[in-house]
Amino acid sequence: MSIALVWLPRYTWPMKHRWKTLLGDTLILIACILALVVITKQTASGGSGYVQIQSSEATYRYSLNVDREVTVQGPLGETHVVIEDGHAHIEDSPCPTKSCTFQKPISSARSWIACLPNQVLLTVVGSDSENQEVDDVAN
Amino acid sequence: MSQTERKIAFISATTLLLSSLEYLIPKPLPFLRLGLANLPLLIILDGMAYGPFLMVLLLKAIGQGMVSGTLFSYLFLISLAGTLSSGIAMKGAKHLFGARVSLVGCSLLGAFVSNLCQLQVASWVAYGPSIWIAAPLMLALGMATSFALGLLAEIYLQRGTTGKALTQGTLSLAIPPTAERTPHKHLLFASLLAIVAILLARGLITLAVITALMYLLQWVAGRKIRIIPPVMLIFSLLMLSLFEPNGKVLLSVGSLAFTEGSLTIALTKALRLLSLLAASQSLSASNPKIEGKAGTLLALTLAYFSLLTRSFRATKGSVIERVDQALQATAEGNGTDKTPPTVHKKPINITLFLFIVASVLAVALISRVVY
Repeated sequence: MSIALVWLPRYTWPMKHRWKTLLGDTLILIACILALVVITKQTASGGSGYVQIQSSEATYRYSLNVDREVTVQGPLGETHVVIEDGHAHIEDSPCPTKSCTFQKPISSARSWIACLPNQVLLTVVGSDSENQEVDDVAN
Repeated sequence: MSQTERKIAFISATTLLLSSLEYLIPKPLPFLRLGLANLPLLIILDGMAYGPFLMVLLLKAIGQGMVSGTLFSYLFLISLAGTLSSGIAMKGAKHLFGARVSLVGCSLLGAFVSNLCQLQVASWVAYGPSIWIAAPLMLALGMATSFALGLLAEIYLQRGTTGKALTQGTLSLAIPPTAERTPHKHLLFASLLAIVAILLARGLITLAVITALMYLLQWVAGRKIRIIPPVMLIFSLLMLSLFEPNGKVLLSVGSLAFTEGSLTIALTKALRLLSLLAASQSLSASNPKIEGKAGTLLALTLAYFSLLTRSFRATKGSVIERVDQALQATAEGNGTDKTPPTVHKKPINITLFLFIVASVLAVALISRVVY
């Protein structure tokens, strides 16, 4: 850059017609900055977050973008979690009342579903905080 | 060889010289590139028609792939996308705005479009959509460096002699002696077979074994093995895996976590890409020959490039003076002896080469059965 600073006055300053290019250059610069701002905003808000599944044995994390079925082990047996269309819910669990399977699928940050008898907890983390809902405890 | 064809090859060779010069400049960050190779493109922007200009772009991308040995890998696709898109954007801007835009504006636009296209292609062929996390930083850095490059181009156009002579068409170019290299057909075929094997292989351990074998192959083929780029690739893929959690949490810091599944996926991907890069290097060592007019132009470009590098080494002074002198000497065809550069390369051990490819194939096939 220091080279440019020494040369700039000598080679570009006296040339008056350089001013003509100022408009085009500025337009391009503004367009680039605008695009940069838009892209930065998109990448910052992008990614629909992930669901964290805590069981008595380990913690698992899955992206909500990819549909899949996950089985985790609890003291009573296997709990089946289904992730589809950016939502997660408990499909089946070896608990007596099965009330956790009736919980609404979760997708927004900090919402959660729990199956207390089998010690499984689903939480959504890192999603863009649209409208945070609070589900009831399912046992 | 018409003057236009010589000019195309000469300019393409200049971009190759500058991109190898860029390797020599110390950089604060590994991915911060000045894009020196785009300097000749900016300088000829006004003086060259669309057809020859497009030809220069292609030769630049293919030439860089040949010199670095990445021509037959995903890296070439990324670089081709960047070169073509930025070239067309710069030429288009100059065409549209004419005298109302300087090379600084063209350079800015070219770099921006190039970075966007490279990110898109990189997300398709290697890294996946999470690479867009790097977009803001890459684009912002690109704007800064391309601004500097545009200024440099304006200054060179007024100060340097060869640039002016090129745009005004007063430069007459001598044809350099071209080195004839014999293509090894069976090495070419074996390398292609290795690529198929790499794509078929399954499982992390299999790919680790194959990667080791492929690096051995690259070494047998007499290509230099670099350490930093593979380490960078593995590192960046591991970092990106943080954003796509998948499976058991191994280590978590706040909302980011390394998960078993995504680590396996990232490592598998990294090893496969590294093996493919090594295969591309081995394929390059077999001297594949491109037929027809494009092949002749490419050979001419590489011949100019080899002359330019030798003249550059023989000159003294500041870098800009040395580049200018090397360009002059090469254009006039003097300053260097007329013989093509002699290649002092060890002959490739063909038996060993074929044996390694056979092992790679065997490992890949076994992994298909086991998994």
